[in-house]
Amino acid sequence: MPTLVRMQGIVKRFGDFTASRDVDFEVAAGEVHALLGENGAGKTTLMNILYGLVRPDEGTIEVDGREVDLNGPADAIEAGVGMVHQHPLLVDRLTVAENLFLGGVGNGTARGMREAIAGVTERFPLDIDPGTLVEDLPMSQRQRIEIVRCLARGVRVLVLDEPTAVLTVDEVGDLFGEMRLLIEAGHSVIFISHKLSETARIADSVSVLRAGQMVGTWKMAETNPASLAEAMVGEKVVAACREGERETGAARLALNGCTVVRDDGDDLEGVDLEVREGEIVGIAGVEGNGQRAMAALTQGMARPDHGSVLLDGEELPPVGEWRRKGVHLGRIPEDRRREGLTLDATLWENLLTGPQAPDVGPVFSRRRMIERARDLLAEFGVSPPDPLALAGQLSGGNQQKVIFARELCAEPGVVVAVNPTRGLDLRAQREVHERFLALREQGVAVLMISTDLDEVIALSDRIGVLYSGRLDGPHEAGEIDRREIGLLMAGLTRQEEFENGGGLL
Amino acid sequence: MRRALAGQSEAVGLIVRTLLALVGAALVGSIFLAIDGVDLGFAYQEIFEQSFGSSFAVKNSLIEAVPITLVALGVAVAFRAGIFNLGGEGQIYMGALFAVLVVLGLSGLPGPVLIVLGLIGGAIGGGLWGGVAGALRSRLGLSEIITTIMLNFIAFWIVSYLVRGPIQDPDGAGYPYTKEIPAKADLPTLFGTIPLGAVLLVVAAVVVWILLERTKTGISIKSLGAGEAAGRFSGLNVERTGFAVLLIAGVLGGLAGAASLLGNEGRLSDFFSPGWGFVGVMTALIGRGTAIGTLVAGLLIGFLNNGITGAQSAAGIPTSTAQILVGVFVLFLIIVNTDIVATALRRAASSLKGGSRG
Repeated sequence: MPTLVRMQGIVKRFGDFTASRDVDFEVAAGEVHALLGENGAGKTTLMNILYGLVRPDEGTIEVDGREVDLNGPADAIEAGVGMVHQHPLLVDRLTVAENLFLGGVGNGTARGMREAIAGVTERFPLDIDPGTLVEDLPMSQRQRIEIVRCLARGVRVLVLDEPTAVLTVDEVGDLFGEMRLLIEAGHSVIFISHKLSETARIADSVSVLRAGQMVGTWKMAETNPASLAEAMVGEKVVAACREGERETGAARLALNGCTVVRDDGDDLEGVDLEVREGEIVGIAGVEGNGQRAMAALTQGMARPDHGSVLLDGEELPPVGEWRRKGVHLGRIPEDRRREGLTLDATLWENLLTGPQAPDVGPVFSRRRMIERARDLLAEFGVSPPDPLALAGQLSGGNQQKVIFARELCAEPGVVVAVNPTRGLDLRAQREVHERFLALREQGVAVLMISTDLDEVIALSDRIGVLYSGRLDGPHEAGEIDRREIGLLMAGLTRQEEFENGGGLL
Repeated sequence: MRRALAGQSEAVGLIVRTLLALVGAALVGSIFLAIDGVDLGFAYQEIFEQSFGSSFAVKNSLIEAVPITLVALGVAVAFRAGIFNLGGEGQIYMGALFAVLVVLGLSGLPGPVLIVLGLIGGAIGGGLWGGVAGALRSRLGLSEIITTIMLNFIAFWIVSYLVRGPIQDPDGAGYPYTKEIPAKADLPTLFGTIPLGAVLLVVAAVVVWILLERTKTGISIKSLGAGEAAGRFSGLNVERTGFAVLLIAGVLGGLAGAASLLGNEGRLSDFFSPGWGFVGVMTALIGRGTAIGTLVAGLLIGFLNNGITGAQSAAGIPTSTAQILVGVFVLFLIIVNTDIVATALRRAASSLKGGSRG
């Protein structure tokens, strides 16, 4: 099959951060080409470059054999590349027809536009009343409208940006059917995802990005989910590492048969887990397999629909009651900028929020709070330890240290952290890892939910894997290796792998 | 707003900008005065005289500042939490209504007791009105921007109905107002210059300052204003806090109504407030949403307003031109605080879009 899109030597830097490192990427005509990678691997950057939203620092782009210079989406559409966003960019208060005409299709006259749309829907049925308001439609139909709009503009390559993340299971099936229709009509589809099972179902070819680099491209028939999982997470050196075995003590935090159903589909199903004194339990998994639900349960932000969450044998109350009930549990949230900190408040103020902050009486002395904050910030290595700085001005590493200072100052016996090093530079990552190892030495029970497999392997005494809301393990760190974890992350059990012949890798 | 006075240089900058705004407004205002053929030098001298020139002038300026500043403090507290209290007008009317009912109904009691009860009644009336908006917000997720404005109309028409019927002054020749409150319930003036309402005002500003700057609740209110996620994560009951904030704002608005009734107006009519509730929104923005800033801004606008209206007849300024002049001064003061206004508008937009539950 002829090559329809060829990106060569693409480099894109944002400040110090390199989002694309010399990436080559090719899509053949008439194929579904999956672009896989963890969050932050550079998938969206690469596609934004192809769609003209981001200009590359280096590299060339060819569409249909012709080199193109893309200064914006209009150029990309002109060249034949269209993009459908996860949350389609439609005007909610306009009807389907109005949205389709928006921006102009065909020759721009009312009749011309109708004809252009009709030409598309003949091959690719829309099946939606054109008079419906977009805001009344489910996400799947909105995506379909955007696909039709792209096709009406003569687009040949469609980029679908993680379309399934906002769809139900049935809708995903419908979308895949539509993608097949597109292929039959001679279009190519680039399918951005981090879901291996879906990729295996729909893709003809697959390319994997990791940390801004292209790991490789395979025919789907010639690879399998397990090796793709490994390609996605890769292997990198983690400086800080767990050493020696520890005598673990009593169970501090426990999940018993926890089931949660969430609006975003990040459910849990019958999860059992115990975290004991002096151990780090790492929970690995590809994002969206129940991590959010587990974090919410163990950080006091939600209660299970079934089952129970116990702290020292007592039901864990909602976080609003922790202060009154004297619950000591340190929490490192997934999103430090949104949940962890009030960005336009000062550090001393941030250190006074949450259930772990000290009781300061009805009216406090500002001077004393600032002094306390200065000591704490220095103790936790925030530099400079300026209590009057605004939290939003700090680097990610320093922000994380402020959260550690707030959550650990009361010396809780249990700590729950979610993706604690995401977005941090290597030095800051190492400092966070050393902090966890120190907690382990002190006999703290640590639960670390992380999509960074390297840190899970490096730090954890026991490792569990979340897939589709179910928890496998946790297994003793010595009894499970990276390859097996990769299989579990891809939704394969060891048994299945055995049945498949075991020699896939 | 959040760290408006974080550093000394920032404070100096703020003072310089405010002075520049006053000078700019005076210059632009001169154009309008000149068009009317007013003697500029005399007009500005008279404005100054009427706002600061005598103890009588200062007293009147303070009386003018009291309702504006009290209601503005309510706006400022809510603004800190990212909540828009545009219901000052309704809270003032309800506060004044409750105050006048209490004072007229219990007129046999001694003066000081009446005053205290009248103020408490005003706080309850305003608090009720703020609380309704708060409950609608936290229970149903209705944007307070809409509900507080609607509640303004309801409060106004309730008062309008009552002062034309059930509580109309029988000896008032049919005018839409209540009987005058007994003289013993008038707020006294201290040292012949300082109306008691002004003392109340300073006390309220200090209480609000302590609440916002020196309590954990104040920090929670701030985190709420920055978006709800951090507040929720820290265990804050976001709904209850939003309700409490509108309740407090209503209490302050109600106090504004009661203090004005007892301190100056003496009776309730359906032309009781000349738009203090809305001037209060401007005042809170000019005060950059802080307690002390709002106090200063409220006093400034009180003095300006009183000076300009007081100078009208002596300097021969037409009423409409006087109002334009007040507007020009407020506009210039807003202009030097556009950063706050921008923040306010952004929050208003997100509040309207998402409601409280967003």
